Amino acid sequence: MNGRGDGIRNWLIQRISAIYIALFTIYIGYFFLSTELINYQTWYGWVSQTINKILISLFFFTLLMHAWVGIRDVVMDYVHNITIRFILLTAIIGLLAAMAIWLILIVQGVR
Amino acid sequence: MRISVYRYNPETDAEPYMETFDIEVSSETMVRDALLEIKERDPTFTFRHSCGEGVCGSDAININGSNGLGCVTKIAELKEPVEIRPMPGMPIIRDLVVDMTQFFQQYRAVKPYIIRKDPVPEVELKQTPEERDKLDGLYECILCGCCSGSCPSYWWNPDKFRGPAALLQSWRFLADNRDQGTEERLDELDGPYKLFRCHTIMNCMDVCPKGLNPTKAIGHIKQLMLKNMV
Repeated sequence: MNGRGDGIRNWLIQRISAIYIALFTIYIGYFFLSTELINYQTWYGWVSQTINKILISLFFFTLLMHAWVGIRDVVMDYVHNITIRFILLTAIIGLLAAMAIWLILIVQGVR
Repeated sequence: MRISVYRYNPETDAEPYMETFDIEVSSETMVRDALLEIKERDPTFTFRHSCGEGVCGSDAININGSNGLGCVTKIAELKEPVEIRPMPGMPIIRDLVVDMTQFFQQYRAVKPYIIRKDPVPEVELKQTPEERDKLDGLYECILCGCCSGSCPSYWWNPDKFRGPAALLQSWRFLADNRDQGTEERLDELDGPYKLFRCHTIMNCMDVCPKGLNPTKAIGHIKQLMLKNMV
């Protein structure tokens, strides 16, 4: 676990993803506040725009990256048994990857 | 004033306990004075101390849950009963005395001295006043250990994480224009543990008896790493 630049890379991922998550939250908040009537149709219409599909996908991608860095940090701090740590981290990667695939399928499904 | 001190002698006690003493104090009495008074009454009570004026850094202890130097903490200003414990996160040798071997190993690991690649000149290496100013807030560290002893990241990984005290010193030499070891210092701190276990909890700057700010120094190291990366 001593890859070159590993520490600064994860630190940077955490910061950049945090900025994007914050900006996207403002963007989606603006949609909710600026849209007079919010129902399934207006929501679906908003999500089906290509630009929003891209921004939403990017949001979930950065969110998963952010979650990975954060959870990995917690596991590294508190789980010192290498075997348990390996199993936990592998399980978390699996779970996050599954979520990523699921999200792709959902966003794909919106026409 | 009622003072409760942590007692533990591994040779005679099965487990640690708190012992309470009532001590006469004035507005000028320091925690160290009270501990000396306790030692007078019970000579088996042990704690480290030396200069008595916040310069040597020997008497770092946990006072009412927060690390500090006994010699510069006025006891009358503390909430009663005052609880005195050894610094957390370090192995206890006896009573308030902790084993700081690991702390100093981490300090040594950051090479706390100037590294020169160029031949060392016969006269001293000069600095401009501006270059010298960059070392203010860094060189004053007395290595008491209050910061590292209050850092949760250091508690969980004292063998791998350098800790705030050592990292402050690492930045002290990175910030020094006479030092030429920037690259090897940054390379050494690479990886997920040595520097990046810091989660900006800021206990270190909160407890530092010299008013230094290791969190800020760690931030500077990260910025420098980033600069060298892109």
